[in-house]
Amino acid sequence: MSKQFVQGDVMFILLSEKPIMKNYKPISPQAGRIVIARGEKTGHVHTVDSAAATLFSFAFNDERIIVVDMETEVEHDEHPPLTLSPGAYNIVLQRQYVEKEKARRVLD
Amino acid sequence: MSILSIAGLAVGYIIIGLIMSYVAHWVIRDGNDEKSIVAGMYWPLFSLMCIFMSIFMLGRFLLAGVPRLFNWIDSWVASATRRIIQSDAHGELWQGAGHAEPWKWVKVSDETGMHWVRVDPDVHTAKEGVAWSYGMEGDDYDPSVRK
Repeated sequence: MSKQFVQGDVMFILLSEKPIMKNYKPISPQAGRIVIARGEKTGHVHTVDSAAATLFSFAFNDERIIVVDMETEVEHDEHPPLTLSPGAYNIVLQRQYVEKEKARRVLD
Repeated sequence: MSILSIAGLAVGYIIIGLIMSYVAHWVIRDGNDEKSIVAGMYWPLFSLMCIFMSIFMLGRFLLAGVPRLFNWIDSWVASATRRIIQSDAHGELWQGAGHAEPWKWVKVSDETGMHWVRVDPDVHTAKEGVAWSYGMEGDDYDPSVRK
C-alpha cells in the first residue's frame, strides 16, 4: 500500500515511481512558495518551498502531483508542518457528501 | 447566477418598471409635441418589458429558492436528530434523519480542533467515512503521518 501523509484536508500519496509527466503543467509559485490548496472559508493555504518541489496539474481533470526534489515541509497556518521526503506524491483534497452523488471539497 | 443576484435583478426590474410606467403616464398626459408622442408610444412598451422581466426573474428566484429551503429544513432536521452510531481510532460516525436518505458525518479531531465532515450514507464505520472523504476504500486508508 502506498504511504499516505495527511495535513488537515490534504492527503499526499507517495507514488512508487515518478509518473510520465505528459499533459501535466507546472503551477507557478507565488513569492517563492507553491500553494497546494487553499481553504475556501478561512483562506488558509498549504504551501511548500518552490526550491524544493514542483507542483503539476493534469490538463484534463483536477488531478495534481507534487514532485519533491529535496526534503521539505508543507506549511499551514493552523496545522503543524508535514515533512515530505523526495519523491512524487499524488494530492487528494478531502471532500464532503452532497446529495445526488455530488461531492465537493471540504470548506475549512 | 446566485439566488441573491436573481432576486436583486427582479427587484431592480420592478423598480425600473414602476419608474417607466410613471414617466410614460406623464409623457402621454402632458406631451403634445412630436418627440413626446414618440416617447409616449415606446416608453409603455419598455415598462411592459420591465414588468415581464421582473415576473421572469421572480419565477427563477422561486424555482431556485424552494429546493434550497427544503434542503435547509432537511439539514436542520438531520442535525437535530444526530446521534453517534459507531466510533473507532479514526473518529466517530454520526447519523441523522434525512428526507430521502440518512445523513452521516464523521467527527474527527486533530491538532486544530474538531471537524464534522459529511460522508456517503453507505459508510458504516468512522474509518470508512474518513477514507471516503479522501476518495478511497476503508481498507486502503492508512496514513503514516496525520497532522
